[in-house]
Amino acid sequence: MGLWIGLAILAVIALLALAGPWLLPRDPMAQNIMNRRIPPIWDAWFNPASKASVEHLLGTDRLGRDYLARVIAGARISLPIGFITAGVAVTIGAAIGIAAGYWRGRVDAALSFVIQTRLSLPIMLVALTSISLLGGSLSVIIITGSLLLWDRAAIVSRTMTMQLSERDYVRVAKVLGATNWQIIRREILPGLRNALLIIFTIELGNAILLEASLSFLGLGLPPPAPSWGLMLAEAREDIFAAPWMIAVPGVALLLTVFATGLIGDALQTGEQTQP
Amino acid sequence: MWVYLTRRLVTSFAVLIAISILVFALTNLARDPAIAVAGEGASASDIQQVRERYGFEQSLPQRYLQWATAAASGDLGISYRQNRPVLNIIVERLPVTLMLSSTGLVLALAISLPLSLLAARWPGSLLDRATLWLALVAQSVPSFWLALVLISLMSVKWGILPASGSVSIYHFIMPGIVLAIYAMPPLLRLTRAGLQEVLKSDYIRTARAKGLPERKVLSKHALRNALVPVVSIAAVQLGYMLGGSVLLETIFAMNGIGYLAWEAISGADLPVIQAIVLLSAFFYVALSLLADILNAWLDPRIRLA
Amino acid sequence: MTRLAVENLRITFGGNIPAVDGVSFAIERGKVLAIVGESGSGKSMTSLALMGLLPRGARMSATTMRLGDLDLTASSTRMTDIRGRRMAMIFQDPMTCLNPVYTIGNQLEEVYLQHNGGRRSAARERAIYLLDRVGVPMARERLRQYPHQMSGGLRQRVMIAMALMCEPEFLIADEPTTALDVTTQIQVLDLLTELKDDFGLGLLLITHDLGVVARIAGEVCVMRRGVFVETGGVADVFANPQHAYTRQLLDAVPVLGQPKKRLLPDGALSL
Repeated sequence: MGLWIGLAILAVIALLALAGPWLLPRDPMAQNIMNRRIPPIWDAWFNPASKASVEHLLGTDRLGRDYLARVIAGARISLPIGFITAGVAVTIGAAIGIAAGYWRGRVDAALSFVIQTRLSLPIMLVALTSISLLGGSLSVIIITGSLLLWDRAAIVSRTMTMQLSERDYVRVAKVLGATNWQIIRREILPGLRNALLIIFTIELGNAILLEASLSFLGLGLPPPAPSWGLMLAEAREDIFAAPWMIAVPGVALLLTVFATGLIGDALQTGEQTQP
Repeated sequence: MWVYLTRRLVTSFAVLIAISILVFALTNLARDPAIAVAGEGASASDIQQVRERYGFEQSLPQRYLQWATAAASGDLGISYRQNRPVLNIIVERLPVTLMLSSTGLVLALAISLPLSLLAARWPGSLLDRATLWLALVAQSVPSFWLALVLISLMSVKWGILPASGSVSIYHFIMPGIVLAIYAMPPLLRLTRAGLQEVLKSDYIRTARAKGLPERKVLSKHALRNALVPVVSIAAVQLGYMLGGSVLLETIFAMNGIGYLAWEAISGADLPVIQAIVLLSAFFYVALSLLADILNAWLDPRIRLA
Repeated sequence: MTRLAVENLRITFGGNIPAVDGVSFAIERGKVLAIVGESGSGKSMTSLALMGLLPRGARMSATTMRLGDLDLTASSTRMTDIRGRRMAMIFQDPMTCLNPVYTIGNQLEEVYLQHNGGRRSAARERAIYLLDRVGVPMARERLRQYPHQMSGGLRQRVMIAMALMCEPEFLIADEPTTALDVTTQIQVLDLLTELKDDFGLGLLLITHDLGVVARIAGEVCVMRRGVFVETGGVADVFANPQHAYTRQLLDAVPVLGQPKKRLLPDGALSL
């Protein structure tokens, strides 16, 4: 059941992200100083003197930009970056893990060392350092993120490949003259598919949070691109004047990552109960 | 056991060397260090001055060896920004980070362990499922957002806790809570799963057959056996916290090495960056090793092998 | 004489087919009753039911289940008081039945302290006495050892000692010798007989091995698919088996010189 809730949440967010600009033709970049810091609609329910209106359902930020439009625009940044980063990370990890688990021996020793090194690296520090030196472009963020999130995929791929390559049907394939590539593609990869999918959902959540953290610190995509992390950084400056402003992007992040977690958990339970 | 540990020690050392190479390469290759240090908008002559002053014209391997050999003997260089030995700066700022990380970990354990025990005591109950939900929500919460929420409530709205600084114990409460929530999910899941596994064992059935009350079966017989993965995870989490508290320390303006790292990165203070990354890796490696030793000691089958 | 009496015990697991479907038996102190059957016959479940150790999801009912005057099915009865103190149980696999992270001294003493309280030294003396009694050499030094440092046969003796720490009236032994080698099996069985006589234990023996039954049991219940197909004194049943299944079990015991026979699922015997 959690699977459906998770998928539903994610679908809604993704749909909003994709269709947002058409559904809500309000420019997330349009500034209107006269209308700045208007609270969201629910403030009107408690406070008769409130300036909230349906004009700006989630209020406006300190430059008068419509918050709802910005949150939706933020989804268009955080979601794709998260997906791509997680996808690349899992691919890298799987490649390393399969190679280590299949060829073993010195290949495994070398690759395991690489994995150990990656695990010992402080992710946040390295990400911050590279982006501050290389600049906060899309490709730098994605590459840095994927290079820091591949470890789980690698470890699991390695273990499972080792187990799978012990199975009889793999040995038979080898005896029958199948090339290594064929074996990996036809015998090993299908066995890894479910596990990698689960790991993808985990890293998706991590990637989204990583990008948000970097943007929060000012090292993500440069403004005015309304990444949720950046919105939170801006909201932080208004924490005294308009404390509600931190709520919206934060909840957006929370819901999105929560949805990925639900999906991942549901997939995992499904895996376990299968014969 | 000792053979295994020696091997781990050698690997750990090799890992540290690999990391030192990586971080040195990163800070010196990503951008011309002379430009990075001189800053944007520096003139060509400024840049040349910086290059000469810090020895950037020497070859990369040469500079790496200088740095690495010095670091091995405890000399981590001189900070570009503060013109003081990096080691001294780090030693000054380390206690805050240590205090913060320990607080976070202790809190996380204090919540996770009892909760897992209760969940194992009544499997399938509301409490058991709530534990899993708690883990899921806790890992979905962006820690920096939670920090802001807490600040807006505790400091802005109610004014009961200070929003920044790291002077008194009150300053550690909010960041400690955020850190605990960050570290909790894996601890919660692993302890719960570990206990569930252990409870299927034959010796648990024996313990019950002896007439021991269920709480004793759990707390004495089950827990000790389920602790092994918990120790490893706790050590790893501590390692992460020591290296990654940048976010929290900047939000709460705490005077630890996380904040120091942020200052160093913003100011292209390369020696400090290199030193902190190396130090974080060292903590992680040392803690993993410690966890292995602790686990070996906990299990008499390994200890007396 | 205290009796352990069971009437009409039924155990189900949610499905329609009961694991145990109305068995009745009684044991007196100083006597040995064996329940013999193949795996899946429900014999282990029967013994677990007595101790109140049925797995989750099991439903149990019985007309009678009493230890002397005590109704074991009553909700007011605290089984944690009974287990280890009045009724004890030992299991099949001594390798996994002892907690690997605690010394055997710790695990022995804990039973005593749980039910009797008092000083650890009293518990320790009792542990040493019993270890000695069950034939574990160097008892005092053994207390500080861990389970993995002892052989299977020694561990099973430790289990027996542990069961006797609080002088129980009844001992349930679920396949106590199955995981042991043949010579050790005989030693352990003889030990159980001795202890039964010395301490006046009522012994309920669960086994699939007719040889074990022959060696130490006085009465036997043959169990098949949740019911007793035959009960009676061991000598009688072995000499004059009334039920076809009993006969098949007896016939299936391999004898040197005869061709091997197999027991098929439908009950027929093939050559």
